[in-house]
Amino acid sequence: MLGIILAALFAPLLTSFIPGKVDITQRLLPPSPEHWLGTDLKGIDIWTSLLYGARISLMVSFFTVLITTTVGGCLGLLAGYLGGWFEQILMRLIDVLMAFPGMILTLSFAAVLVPSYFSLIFSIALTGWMETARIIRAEVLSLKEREYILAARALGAPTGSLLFKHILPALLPLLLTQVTASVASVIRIESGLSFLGLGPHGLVPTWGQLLSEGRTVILESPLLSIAPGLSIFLLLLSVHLIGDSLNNGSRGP
Amino acid sequence: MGTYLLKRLLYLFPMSFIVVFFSGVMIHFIPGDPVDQIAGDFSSEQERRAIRKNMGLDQPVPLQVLYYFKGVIQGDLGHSLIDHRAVSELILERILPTVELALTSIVLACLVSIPLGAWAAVFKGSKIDSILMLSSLIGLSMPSFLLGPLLILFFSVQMGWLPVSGRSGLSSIILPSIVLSSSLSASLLRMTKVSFLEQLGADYIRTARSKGLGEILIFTRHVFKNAALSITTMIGLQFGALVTGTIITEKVFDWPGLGTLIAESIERRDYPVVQGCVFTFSLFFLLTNLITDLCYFGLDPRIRLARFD
Repeated sequence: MLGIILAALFAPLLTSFIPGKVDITQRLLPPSPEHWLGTDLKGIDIWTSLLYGARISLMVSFFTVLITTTVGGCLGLLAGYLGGWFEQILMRLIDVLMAFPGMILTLSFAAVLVPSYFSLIFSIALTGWMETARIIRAEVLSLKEREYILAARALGAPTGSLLFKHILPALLPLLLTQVTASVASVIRIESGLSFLGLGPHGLVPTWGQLLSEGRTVILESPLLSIAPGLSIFLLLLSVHLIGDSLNNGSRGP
Repeated sequence: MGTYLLKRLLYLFPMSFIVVFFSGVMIHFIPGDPVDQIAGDFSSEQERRAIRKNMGLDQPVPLQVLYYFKGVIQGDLGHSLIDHRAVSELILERILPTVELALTSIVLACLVSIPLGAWAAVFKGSKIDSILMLSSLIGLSMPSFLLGPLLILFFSVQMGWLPVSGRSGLSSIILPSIVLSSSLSASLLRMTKVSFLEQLGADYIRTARSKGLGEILIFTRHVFKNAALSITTMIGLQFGALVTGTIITEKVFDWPGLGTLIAESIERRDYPVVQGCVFTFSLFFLLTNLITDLCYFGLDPRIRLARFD
């Protein structure tokens, strides 16, 4: 995980090629000392694309998870704490939205919007916040009745300080686990969408776009499919491992 | 019992209403004039007018949605912009392969994950358990567009045993269903283990043991019966993930199902077909949720009795 983040940050140092530089004479080359992983259909160095593609994947998942966690967390917190009509409306809304296959919703938004980073993040975030909101609400409902919260309230602590000083810190472990789960699903959805051709069409292909290109030439140049696929796999695996250890840690020995 | 069933069935109506509404207005989320997107930059005014008329976009929006409703009831989902065939016809052609693939994968996933999950639960903390858990993590992280090409390269290209892609004969379903079921089995494995562990720690198991029941009998008659409940729910819930998984797996293997249809139509900006696919997928999802609920209801006497009055 750390390796991938570092590689994305220091991409220019790790490759001597300009990202997205097209050189038709050099297309579909096998790996060589010059091109570590060979070149793709347009003669772009695959290793370079991988490095710069990591930036896109990480950036998209970072912003998406930031949005879904903030929105889902706040709504869940408020719904759990305030209750009443706000909770009712929010929960019904989530029920209705969850009755749709999330990916189909995301897919249809991504399909009708003009492909860009913004629309990609927007359409993934649109369906991602609901689960977080649901989980946080359930946790807040049980926290609300804990004695220390009741005590703080009896002492006359204002609602704001109750929420942020007492309830929020208790939610952190759960929120962290939820964040890793969301990161994994966002990476999966993002690469899936770009594999289907719904990603942003920049100069640098994303991992998913590399894969969909690789699919057409799998016999001539299998590395074009395998290298980006393996990167996604490693990224997901490390996210899952982090999530697992967080999970075990928060439950205690 | 009857009222619960009735309520659950009636619930389907508002939900399908929303599904139809959503697929109907979807096209208006396109920023600007949808016709610009559909026709492209080099279209004449005449072409634009034809498209507008063909899709009913010259009518006011509420009327369009109304027309879409009327169409859906009559089984008419509009016509493709590319080859002008009826969308309902295109979809009907593609439903069978997708259902075939989804069902094969579900069965495969259950066959693999439930016994292994039970195994991991019984030998909790042993080496087998950790190996199984690690492989389920690998399965969860394995994107279908990596596993797919790897399997194709090995079994089809290297060994020449199985076809690379397409849908011809029984052998062509093997690779896609393995790929589709891999992440499903991984998550089912973990969930099966958890629910088996829950049951194994329950009081009634201790009672059964103390009265001298054999381990095998305890397992088949008590643990499995009770764990089956939560496992069914999980399979039902996972079906949603499976439906979306088909889109990518189908594309990897050129499987002629709904997934390839929606992917192709998105690429070609063939919006009526996209609308139709979104509609079909959502309806599919609603129906499986319904079936899961009904299974749950049938399996658990507590629910059955509680809703009786």
